[in-house]
Amino acid sequence: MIRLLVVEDETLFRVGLQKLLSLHEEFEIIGEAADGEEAVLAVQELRPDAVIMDVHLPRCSGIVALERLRELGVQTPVILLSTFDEEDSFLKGMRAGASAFLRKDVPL
Amino acid sequence: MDARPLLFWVRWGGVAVCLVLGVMVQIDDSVAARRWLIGVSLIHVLAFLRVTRQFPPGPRSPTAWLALQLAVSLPLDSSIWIVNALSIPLAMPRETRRRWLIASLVLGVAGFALFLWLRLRSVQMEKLPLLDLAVALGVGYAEMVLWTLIAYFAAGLIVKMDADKRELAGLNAELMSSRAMLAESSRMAERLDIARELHDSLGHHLTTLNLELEIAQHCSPDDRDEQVRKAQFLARLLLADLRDTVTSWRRELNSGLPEALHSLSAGVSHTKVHVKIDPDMPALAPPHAHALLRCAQEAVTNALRHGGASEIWIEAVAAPGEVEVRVRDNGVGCARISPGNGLTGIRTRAQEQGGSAAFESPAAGGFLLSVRIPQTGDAA
Repeated sequence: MIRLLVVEDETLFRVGLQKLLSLHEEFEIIGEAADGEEAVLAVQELRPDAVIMDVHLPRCSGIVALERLRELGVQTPVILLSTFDEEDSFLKGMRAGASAFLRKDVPL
Repeated sequence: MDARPLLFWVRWGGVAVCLVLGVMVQIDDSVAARRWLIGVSLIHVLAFLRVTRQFPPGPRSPTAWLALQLAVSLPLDSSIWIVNALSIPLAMPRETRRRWLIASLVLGVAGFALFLWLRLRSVQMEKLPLLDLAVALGVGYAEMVLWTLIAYFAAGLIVKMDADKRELAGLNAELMSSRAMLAESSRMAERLDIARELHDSLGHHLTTLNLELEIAQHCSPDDRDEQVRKAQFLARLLLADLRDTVTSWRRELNSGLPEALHSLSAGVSHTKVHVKIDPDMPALAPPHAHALLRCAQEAVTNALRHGGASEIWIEAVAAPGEVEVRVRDNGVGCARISPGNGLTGIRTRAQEQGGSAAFESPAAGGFLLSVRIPQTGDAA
Protein backbone atom coordinates (compact mmCIF):
# COMPACT_ATOMS: atom_id res chain seq x y z
CA MET A 1 0.00 0.00 0.00
CA ILE A 2 1.39 3.39 -1.03
CA ARG A 3 0.48 6.17 1.40
CA LEU A 4 -0.24 9.41 -0.48
CA LEU A 5 -0.60 13.07 0.43
CA VAL A 6 -2.65 15.19 -2.04
CA VAL A 7 -1.86 18.91 -2.25
CA GLU A 8 -4.27 20.98 -4.35
CA ASP A 9 -6.00 24.30 -3.75
CA GLU A 10 -9.04 23.67 -5.97
CA THR A 11 -11.42 21.74 -3.73
CA LEU A 12 -13.34 20.06 -6.54
CA PHE A 13 -10.18 18.73 -8.15
CA ARG A 14 -8.64 17.72 -4.82
CA VAL A 15 -11.73 15.70 -3.83
CA GLY A 16 -12.00 14.17 -7.31
CA LEU A 17 -8.32 13.21 -7.35
CA GLN A 18 -8.61 11.55 -3.96
CA LYS A 19 -11.64 9.61 -5.17
CA LEU A 20 -9.90 8.50 -8.36
CA LEU A 21 -6.81 7.36 -6.47
CA SER A 22 -8.96 5.56 -3.88
CA LEU A 23 -10.39 3.40 -6.65
CA HIS A 24 -6.98 1.74 -6.86
CA GLU A 25 -6.33 -0.61 -3.94
CA GLU A 26 -2.59 0.05 -3.90
CA PHE A 27 -3.10 3.69 -2.89
CA GLU A 28 -4.11 5.05 0.48
CA ILE A 29 -4.80 8.78 0.87
CA ILE A 30 -3.46 9.69 4.29
CA GLY A 31 -3.97 13.43 4.07
CA GLU A 32 -4.56 16.55 2.01
CA ALA A 33 -3.33 20.14 1.92
CA ALA A 34 -4.61 23.25 0.13
CA ASP A 35 -1.42 25.33 -0.05
CA GLY A 36 2.37 24.99 -0.11
CA GLU A 37 3.03 25.86 3.52
CA GLU A 38 0.36 23.46 4.71
CA ALA A 39 1.95 20.81 2.49
CA VAL A 40 5.41 21.19 4.08
CA LEU A 41 3.91 20.77 7.57
CA ALA A 42 1.73 17.81 6.49
CA VAL A 43 4.70 15.95 4.93
CA GLN A 44 6.76 16.38 8.09
CA GLU A 45 3.88 15.28 10.26
CA LEU A 46 2.36 12.42 8.23
CA ARG A 47 5.53 11.09 6.52
CA PRO A 48 3.72 9.90 3.34
CA ASP A 49 5.37 7.55 0.83
CA ALA A 50 4.70 10.04 -1.97
CA VAL A 51 3.22 13.48 -2.48
CA ILE A 52 1.04 14.55 -5.39
CA MET A 53 1.20 18.35 -5.50
CA ASP A 54 -0.10 21.12 -7.78
CA VAL A 55 2.53 23.54 -9.07
CA HIS A 56 0.37 26.65 -8.57
CA LEU A 57 -0.63 26.95 -4.94
CA PRO A 58 -1.51 29.93 -2.76
CA ARG A 59 0.90 31.26 -0.07
CA CYS A 60 3.81 29.20 -1.38
CA SER A 61 3.97 27.44 -4.76
CA GLY A 62 4.41 23.69 -5.19
CA ILE A 63 7.99 24.22 -6.40
CA VAL A 64 8.93 26.38 -3.39
CA ALA A 65 7.30 23.82 -1.04
CA LEU A 66 9.34 21.07 -2.71
CA GLU A 67 12.56 23.12 -2.30
CA ARG A 68 11.79 23.62 1.39
CA LEU A 69 11.21 19.90 1.87
CA ARG A 70 14.57 19.12 0.27
CA GLU A 71 16.25 21.77 2.42
CA LEU A 72 14.74 20.09 5.48
CA GLY A 73 16.26 16.81 4.32
CA VAL A 74 12.91 15.22 3.43
CA GLN A 75 13.47 12.99 0.39
CA THR A 76 9.84 11.86 -0.08
CA PRO A 77 9.08 11.45 -3.81
CA VAL A 78 6.99 14.37 -5.08
CA ILE A 79 4.91 14.31 -8.28
CA LEU A 80 4.11 17.80 -9.51
CA LEU A 81 0.84 18.48 -11.38
CA SER A 82 0.00 21.31 -13.72
CA THR A 83 -3.03 22.23 -15.84
CA PHE A 84 -0.93 23.34 -18.80
CA ASP A 85 2.40 22.46 -20.36
CA GLU A 86 4.66 24.96 -18.64
CA GLU A 87 8.26 24.47 -19.64
CA ASP A 88 9.59 26.91 -17.10
CA SER A 89 7.74 25.25 -14.19
CA PHE A 90 8.76 21.83 -15.47
CA LEU A 91 12.47 22.75 -15.46
CA LYS A 92 12.28 24.45 -12.06
CA GLY A 93 10.33 21.52 -10.59
CA MET A 94 12.72 18.88 -11.90
CA ARG A 95 15.69 20.93 -10.71
CA ALA A 96 14.10 21.21 -7.25
CA GLY A 97 13.96 17.41 -7.08
CA ALA A 98 10.51 16.37 -8.35
CA SER A 99 10.17 12.71 -9.30
CA ALA A 100 7.76 13.49 -12.11
CA PHE A 101 5.90 16.42 -13.67
CA LEU A 102 2.46 15.46 -14.98
CA ARG A 103 -0.38 17.29 -16.63
CA LYS A 104 -3.61 17.12 -14.65
CA ASP A 105 -5.54 15.49 -17.51
CA VAL A 106 -3.15 12.55 -17.79
CA PRO A 107 -5.17 9.25 -17.67
CA LEU A 108 -4.46 7.15 -14.61
CA MET B 1 10.71 75.77 -44.05
CA ASP B 2 13.20 73.30 -45.45
CA ALA B 3 16.84 74.42 -45.13
CA ARG B 4 18.10 72.41 -48.13
CA PRO B 5 16.55 74.57 -50.93
CA LEU B 6 17.74 77.66 -49.02
CA LEU B 7 21.22 76.20 -48.93
CA PHE B 8 21.09 75.63 -52.70
CA TRP B 9 20.26 79.29 -53.32
CA VAL B 10 22.88 80.50 -50.85
CA ARG B 11 25.53 78.38 -52.55
CA TRP B 12 24.80 79.28 -56.15
CA GLY B 13 23.81 82.84 -55.24
CA GLY B 14 27.23 83.13 -53.60
CA VAL B 15 28.91 81.91 -56.78
CA ALA B 16 26.96 84.44 -58.87
CA VAL B 17 27.86 87.28 -56.51
CA CYS B 18 31.55 86.28 -56.61
CA LEU B 19 31.54 86.27 -60.40
CA VAL B 20 29.69 89.59 -60.69
CA LEU B 21 32.06 91.22 -58.19
CA GLY B 22 35.02 89.77 -60.05
CA VAL B 23 33.86 91.25 -63.37
CA MET B 24 32.70 94.58 -61.92
CA VAL B 25 35.95 95.52 -60.23
CA GLN B 26 38.04 94.53 -63.15
CA ILE B 27 36.43 96.79 -65.73
CA ASP B 28 38.78 99.72 -65.06
CA ASP B 29 41.95 97.65 -64.68
CA SER B 30 44.67 97.11 -67.19
CA VAL B 31 44.56 93.92 -69.29
CA ALA B 32 47.32 92.23 -67.24
CA ALA B 33 45.73 93.13 -63.93
CA ARG B 34 42.31 91.99 -65.20
CA ARG B 35 43.68 88.59 -66.23
CA TRP B 36 45.34 88.17 -62.86
CA LEU B 37 42.19 89.17 -60.96
CA ILE B 38 39.96 86.90 -63.08
CA GLY B 39 42.27 84.00 -62.18
CA VAL B 40 42.05 84.89 -58.49
CA SER B 41 38.23 85.21 -58.72
CA LEU B 42 37.95 81.78 -60.32
CA ILE B 43 40.13 80.26 -57.58
CA HIS B 44 37.87 81.94 -55.01
CA VAL B 45 34.71 80.53 -56.64
CA LEU B 46 36.29 77.07 -56.78
CA ALA B 47 37.29 77.24 -53.10
CA PHE B 48 33.82 78.52 -52.13
CA LEU B 49 32.17 75.62 -53.98
CA ARG B 50 34.55 73.12 -52.39
CA VAL B 51 34.01 74.56 -48.90
CA THR B 52 30.20 74.41 -49.17
CA ARG B 53 30.15 71.04 -50.95
CA GLN B 54 29.14 68.92 -47.98
CA PHE B 55 26.12 69.82 -45.90
CA PRO B 56 25.73 69.16 -43.05
CA PRO B 57 29.51 69.33 -42.45
CA GLY B 58 31.22 65.94 -42.27
CA PRO B 59 33.81 64.84 -39.72
CA ARG B 60 36.63 66.40 -41.79
CA SER B 61 36.27 70.16 -42.06
CA PRO B 62 37.47 71.78 -45.30
CA THR B 63 39.97 73.92 -43.34
CA ALA B 64 42.55 74.22 -46.14
CA TRP B 65 39.94 75.19 -48.73
CA LEU B 66 38.42 77.82 -46.43
CA ALA B 67 41.90 79.24 -45.73
CA LEU B 68 42.52 79.41 -49.49
CA GLN B 69 39.13 81.08 -50.02
CA LEU B 70 39.96 83.76 -47.42
CA ALA B 71 43.51 84.24 -48.72
CA VAL B 72 42.49 84.77 -52.36
CA SER B 73 39.82 87.24 -51.23
CA LEU B 74 42.49 89.77 -50.25
CA PRO B 75 42.92 91.49 -53.63
CA LEU B 76 39.21 91.17 -54.55
CA ASP B 77 36.32 93.55 -53.88
CA SER B 78 35.66 94.02 -50.16
CA SER B 79 32.08 92.75 -50.64
CA ILE B 80 33.54 89.28 -51.22
CA TRP B 81 33.97 89.03 -47.41
CA ILE B 82 30.19 88.84 -47.08
CA VAL B 83 30.21 85.70 -49.25
CA ASN B 84 33.09 84.35 -47.15
CA ALA B 85 31.03 84.90 -43.98
CA LEU B 86 28.24 82.81 -45.52
CA SER B 87 30.49 79.82 -46.06
CA ILE B 88 31.83 79.63 -42.46
CA PRO B 89 28.67 78.33 -40.67
CA LEU B 90 27.82 76.10 -43.65
CA ALA B 91 31.17 74.30 -43.61
CA MET B 92 32.73 74.54 -40.19
CA PRO B 93 31.84 72.89 -36.88
CA ARG B 94 30.13 75.12 -34.30
CA GLU B 95 33.15 75.38 -31.99
CA THR B 96 35.54 76.77 -34.65
CA ARG B 97 33.09 79.08 -36.42
CA ARG B 98 33.79 82.15 -34.24
CA ARG B 99 37.57 81.85 -34.76
CA TRP B 100 37.05 81.72 -38.51
CA LEU B 101 34.73 84.75 -38.35
CA ILE B 102 37.33 86.76 -36.42
CA ALA B 103 40.03 85.67 -38.86
CA SER B 104 37.77 86.68 -41.70
CA LEU B 105 37.10 90.13 -40.21
CA VAL B 106 40.82 90.72 -39.52
CA LEU B 107 41.79 89.62 -43.02
CA GLY B 108 38.93 91.79 -44.26
CA VAL B 109 40.74 94.87 -42.91
CA ALA B 110 43.90 93.88 -44.78
CA GLY B 111 41.81 93.06 -47.86
CA PHE B 112 39.94 96.34 -47.63
CA ALA B 113 43.24 98.25 -47.33
CA LEU B 114 44.80 96.30 -50.21
CA PHE B 115 41.69 96.82 -52.31
CA LEU B 116 41.80 100.58 -51.69
CA TRP B 117 45.54 100.75 -52.36
CA LEU B 118 45.07 98.93 -55.68
CA ARG B 119 42.26 101.31 -56.64
CA LEU B 120 43.81 104.53 -55.35
CA ARG B 121 47.49 104.04 -56.14
CA SER B 122 47.11 106.09 -59.35
CA VAL B 123 45.46 108.92 -57.44
CA GLN B 124 47.74 111.55 -55.99
CA MET B 125 47.18 110.95 -52.29
CA GLU B 126 48.37 114.40 -51.20
CA LYS B 127 45.38 115.87 -53.01
CA LEU B 128 42.97 113.92 -50.79
CA PRO B 129 42.10 115.35 -47.35
CA LEU B 130 43.39 112.86 -44.75
CA LEU B 131 40.32 113.18 -42.52
CA ASP B 132 37.96 112.46 -45.39
CA LEU B 133 40.00 109.41 -46.30
CA ALA B 134 39.96 108.11 -42.70
CA VAL B 135 36.17 108.62 -42.42
CA ALA B 136 35.61 106.93 -45.79
CA LEU B 137 37.79 104.00 -44.69
CA GLY B 138 36.01 103.70 -41.30
CA VAL B 139 32.51 103.89 -42.75
CA GLY B 140 33.39 101.47 -45.54
CA TYR B 141 34.90 98.97 -43.15
CA ALA B 142 32.00 99.29 -40.64
CA GLU B 143 29.55 98.64 -43.48
CA MET B 144 31.52 95.59 -44.53
CA VAL B 145 31.60 94.25 -40.95
CA LEU B 146 27.86 94.78 -40.58
CA TRP B 147 27.02 92.89 -43.78
CA THR B 148 29.54 90.20 -42.91
CA LEU B 149 27.86 89.64 -39.54
CA ILE B 150 24.38 89.59 -41.14
CA ALA B 151 25.56 87.00 -43.66
CA TYR B 152 27.26 84.96 -40.93
CA PHE B 153 24.16 84.86 -38.70
CA ALA B 154 21.82 84.21 -41.65
CA ALA B 155 23.91 81.19 -42.67
CA GLY B 156 24.02 80.11 -39.02
CA LEU B 157 20.22 80.27 -38.98
CA ILE B 158 20.01 78.00 -42.01
CA VAL B 159 22.35 75.51 -40.34
CA LYS B 160 20.29 75.62 -37.14
CA MET B 161 17.04 75.14 -39.06
CA ASP B 162 18.46 72.07 -40.73
CA ALA B 163 19.81 70.69 -37.44
CA ASP B 164 16.44 71.33 -35.75
CA LYS B 165 14.64 69.61 -38.60
CA ARG B 166 16.90 66.58 -38.34
CA GLU B 167 16.46 66.48 -34.58
CA LEU B 168 12.70 66.77 -34.97
CA ALA B 169 12.71 63.93 -37.49
CA GLY B 170 14.67 61.82 -35.02
CA LEU B 171 12.28 62.65 -32.18
CA ASN B 172 9.33 61.93 -34.41
CA ALA B 173 10.76 58.54 -35.35
CA GLU B 174 11.38 57.85 -31.67
CA LEU B 175 7.83 58.85 -30.85
CA MET B 176 6.41 56.66 -33.59
CA SER B 177 8.42 53.66 -32.44
CA SER B 178 7.46 54.28 -28.81
CA ARG B 179 3.81 54.48 -29.83
CA ALA B 180 4.09 51.24 -31.77
CA MET B 181 5.85 49.62 -28.83
CA LEU B 182 3.18 50.87 -26.44
CA ALA B 183 0.44 49.50 -28.67
CA GLU B 184 2.25 46.18 -28.90
CA SER B 185 2.77 46.00 -25.14
CA SER B 186 -0.91 46.83 -24.63
CA ARG B 187 -1.86 43.99 -27.00
CA MET B 188 0.51 41.68 -25.14
CA ALA B 189 -1.03 42.68 -21.80
CA GLU B 190 -4.50 41.93 -23.20
CA ARG B 191 -3.36 38.50 -24.42
CA LEU B 192 -1.77 37.82 -21.06
CA ASP B 193 -5.03 38.72 -19.31
CA ILE B 194 -6.96 36.36 -21.58
CA ALA B 195 -4.43 33.57 -20.98
CA ARG B 196 -4.61 34.15 -17.21
CA GLU B 197 -8.40 34.15 -17.31
CA LEU B 198 -8.43 30.89 -19.30
CA HIS B 199 -5.89 29.35 -16.96
CA ASP B 200 -7.51 30.45 -13.71
CA SER B 201 -11.14 29.65 -14.33
CA LEU B 202 -11.75 27.56 -17.42
CA GLY B 203 -8.57 25.49 -17.16
CA HIS B 204 -9.25 24.35 -13.60
CA HIS B 205 -12.86 23.41 -14.17
CA LEU B 206 -12.10 21.61 -17.42
CA THR B 207 -9.38 19.60 -15.67
CA THR B 208 -11.78 18.70 -12.87
CA LEU B 209 -14.47 17.72 -15.40
CA ASN B 210 -11.96 15.47 -17.11
CA LEU B 211 -11.07 13.95 -13.73
CA GLU B 212 -14.73 13.24 -12.87
CA LEU B 213 -15.22 11.54 -16.24
CA GLU B 214 -12.08 9.48 -15.60
CA ILE B 215 -13.53 8.41 -12.23
CA ALA B 216 -16.83 7.53 -13.94
CA GLN B 217 -14.88 5.30 -16.31
CA HIS B 218 -13.28 3.38 -13.44
CA CYS B 219 -16.04 3.25 -10.81
CA SER B 220 -18.81 0.68 -10.39
CA PRO B 221 -22.07 1.03 -12.40
CA ASP B 222 -23.90 2.02 -9.20
CA ASP B 223 -21.62 5.00 -8.61
CA ARG B 224 -21.55 5.97 -12.27
CA ASP B 225 -24.81 7.98 -12.18
CA GLU B 226 -23.49 10.05 -9.33
CA GLN B 227 -20.27 10.72 -11.27
CA VAL B 228 -22.20 11.75 -14.39
CA ARG B 229 -24.25 14.17 -12.28
CA LYS B 230 -21.03 15.64 -10.91
CA ALA B 231 -19.60 15.95 -14.43
CA GLN B 232 -22.80 17.67 -15.55
CA PHE B 233 -22.57 20.09 -12.63
CA LEU B 234 -18.99 20.89 -13.63
CA ALA B 235 -20.00 21.39 -17.25
CA ARG B 236 -22.59 23.94 -16.08
CA LEU B 237 -19.98 25.60 -13.90
CA LEU B 238 -17.70 25.82 -16.91
CA LEU B 239 -20.40 27.40 -19.00
CA ALA B 240 -21.05 29.95 -16.26
CA ASP B 241 -17.30 30.67 -16.11
CA LEU B 242 -17.18 31.17 -19.84
CA ARG B 243 -20.21 33.45 -19.73
CA ASP B 244 -18.69 35.52 -16.91
CA THR B 245 -15.37 35.80 -18.67
CA VAL B 246 -16.92 36.88 -22.00
CA THR B 247 -19.22 39.37 -20.24
CA SER B 248 -16.27 40.82 -18.38
CA TRP B 249 -14.24 41.17 -21.62
CA ARG B 250 -17.20 42.83 -23.33
CA ARG B 251 -17.52 45.25 -20.43
CA GLU B 252 -13.81 46.03 -20.52
CA LEU B 253 -13.83 46.59 -24.27
CA ASN B 254 -16.89 48.77 -23.96
CA SER B 255 -15.40 50.86 -21.19
CA GLY B 256 -12.97 52.52 -23.63
CA LEU B 257 -15.26 55.10 -25.29
CA PRO B 258 -17.29 56.19 -22.24
CA GLU B 259 -14.11 56.62 -20.21
CA ALA B 260 -12.45 58.56 -22.99
CA LEU B 261 -15.50 60.84 -23.35
CA HIS B 262 -15.50 61.48 -19.61
CA SER B 263 -11.74 62.27 -19.77
CA LEU B 264 -12.45 64.64 -22.65
CA SER B 265 -15.01 66.53 -20.55
CA ALA B 266 -12.68 66.60 -17.54
CA GLY B 267 -9.95 68.17 -19.66
CA VAL B 268 -12.05 71.25 -20.52
CA SER B 269 -11.86 74.18 -18.14
CA HIS B 270 -14.14 77.26 -17.93
CA THR B 271 -16.83 75.45 -19.96
CA LYS B 272 -19.29 72.97 -18.52
CA VAL B 273 -19.29 69.71 -20.44
CA HIS B 274 -22.14 67.26 -19.76
CA VAL B 275 -21.59 63.63 -20.73
CA LYS B 276 -24.41 61.13 -21.02
CA ILE B 277 -23.68 57.53 -21.97
CA ASP B 278 -26.39 55.06 -22.90
CA PRO B 279 -26.21 52.22 -20.33
CA ASP B 280 -26.94 49.76 -23.15
CA MET B 281 -23.93 50.93 -25.13
CA PRO B 282 -22.64 47.83 -26.99
CA ALA B 283 -19.02 46.78 -27.25
CA LEU B 284 -17.33 48.74 -30.03
CA ALA B 285 -14.49 47.72 -32.29
CA PRO B 286 -11.42 49.83 -31.37
CA PRO B 287 -11.31 51.73 -34.73
CA HIS B 288 -14.99 52.67 -34.32
CA ALA B 289 -14.52 53.85 -30.74
CA HIS B 290 -11.42 55.79 -31.82
CA ALA B 291 -13.25 57.49 -34.71
CA LEU B 292 -16.18 58.50 -32.49
CA LEU B 293 -13.82 59.88 -29.86
CA ARG B 294 -11.84 61.92 -32.43
CA CYS B 295 -15.09 63.37 -33.85
CA ALA B 296 -16.25 64.34 -30.36
CA GLN B 297 -12.85 65.95 -29.66
CA GLU B 298 -13.05 67.97 -32.87
CA ALA B 299 -16.60 69.09 -32.08
CA VAL B 300 -15.62 70.18 -28.56
CA THR B 301 -12.62 72.10 -29.95
CA ASN B 302 -14.85 73.87 -32.49
CA ALA B 303 -17.41 74.74 -29.81
CA LEU B 304 -14.70 76.32 -27.67
CA ARG B 305 -12.64 77.95 -30.39
CA HIS B 306 -15.29 79.20 -32.82
CA GLY B 307 -18.57 78.98 -30.94
CA GLY B 308 -17.47 80.51 -27.65
CA ALA B 309 -19.80 78.02 -25.92
CA SER B 310 -20.29 78.08 -22.16
CA GLU B 311 -21.93 74.63 -22.09
CA ILE B 312 -21.44 71.50 -24.18
CA TRP B 313 -23.50 68.31 -24.13
CA ILE B 314 -21.96 65.02 -25.29
CA GLU B 315 -24.29 62.08 -25.66
CA ALA B 316 -23.47 58.51 -26.73
CA VAL B 317 -26.58 56.62 -27.79
CA ALA B 318 -26.99 52.99 -28.79
CA ALA B 319 -29.48 52.51 -31.64
CA PRO B 320 -30.31 49.18 -33.33
CA GLY B 321 -27.24 48.24 -35.38
CA GLU B 322 -25.41 51.52 -34.83
CA VAL B 323 -23.95 53.87 -32.28
CA GLU B 324 -24.45 57.61 -32.35
CA VAL B 325 -22.40 60.31 -30.64
CA ARG B 326 -24.04 63.72 -30.46
CA VAL B 327 -22.20 66.88 -29.44
CA ARG B 328 -24.32 70.00 -28.87
CA ASP B 329 -23.22 73.44 -27.64
CA ASN B 330 -24.80 76.78 -26.75
CA GLY B 331 -22.27 78.85 -28.65
CA VAL B 332 -22.92 81.43 -31.36
CA GLY B 333 -23.37 78.77 -34.06
CA CYS B 334 -23.12 79.90 -37.67
CA ALA B 335 -25.57 81.23 -40.23
CA ARG B 336 -24.25 78.99 -42.99
CA ILE B 337 -22.36 75.75 -42.40
CA SER B 338 -19.40 75.45 -44.73
CA PRO B 339 -17.38 72.33 -43.89
CA GLY B 340 -13.84 73.46 -43.26
CA ASN B 341 -10.99 71.15 -42.39
CA GLY B 342 -12.41 70.23 -38.99
CA LEU B 343 -15.90 69.27 -40.19
CA THR B 344 -14.50 67.62 -43.33
CA GLY B 345 -12.19 65.59 -41.09
CA ILE B 346 -15.16 64.48 -38.95
CA ARG B 347 -17.12 63.42 -42.02
CA THR B 348 -14.11 61.55 -43.45
CA ARG B 349 -13.49 59.72 -40.16
CA ALA B 350 -17.14 58.64 -39.94
CA GLN B 351 -17.23 57.53 -43.57
CA GLU B 352 -13.98 55.56 -43.18
CA GLN B 353 -15.80 53.44 -40.59
CA GLY B 354 -18.88 53.05 -42.81
CA GLY B 355 -20.83 55.72 -40.92
CA SER B 356 -22.03 59.27 -41.49
CA ALA B 357 -21.83 62.72 -39.91
CA ALA B 358 -24.46 65.48 -39.83
CA PHE B 359 -24.14 69.10 -38.74
CA GLU B 360 -26.83 71.55 -37.75
CA SER B 361 -26.79 75.12 -36.52
CA PRO B 362 -30.25 76.10 -35.24
CA ALA B 363 -31.45 79.67 -35.75
CA ALA B 364 -31.56 80.15 -31.98
CA GLY B 365 -27.80 79.55 -31.83
CA GLY B 366 -25.51 76.69 -30.91
CA PHE B 367 -24.18 73.87 -33.02
CA LEU B 368 -25.10 70.21 -33.21
CA LEU B 369 -22.91 67.40 -34.53
CA SER B 370 -24.17 63.87 -34.94
CA VAL B 371 -21.87 60.99 -35.89
CA ARG B 372 -23.34 57.55 -36.57
CA ILE B 373 -21.19 54.46 -36.93
CA PRO B 374 -22.56 50.98 -37.59
CA GLN B 375 -22.00 48.32 -34.98
CA THR B 376 -20.19 45.46 -36.65
CA GLY B 377 -19.68 43.36 -33.56
CA ASP B 378 -15.94 43.06 -34.24
CA ALA B 379 -15.20 43.81 -30.63
CA ALA B 380 -17.18 40.97 -29.14
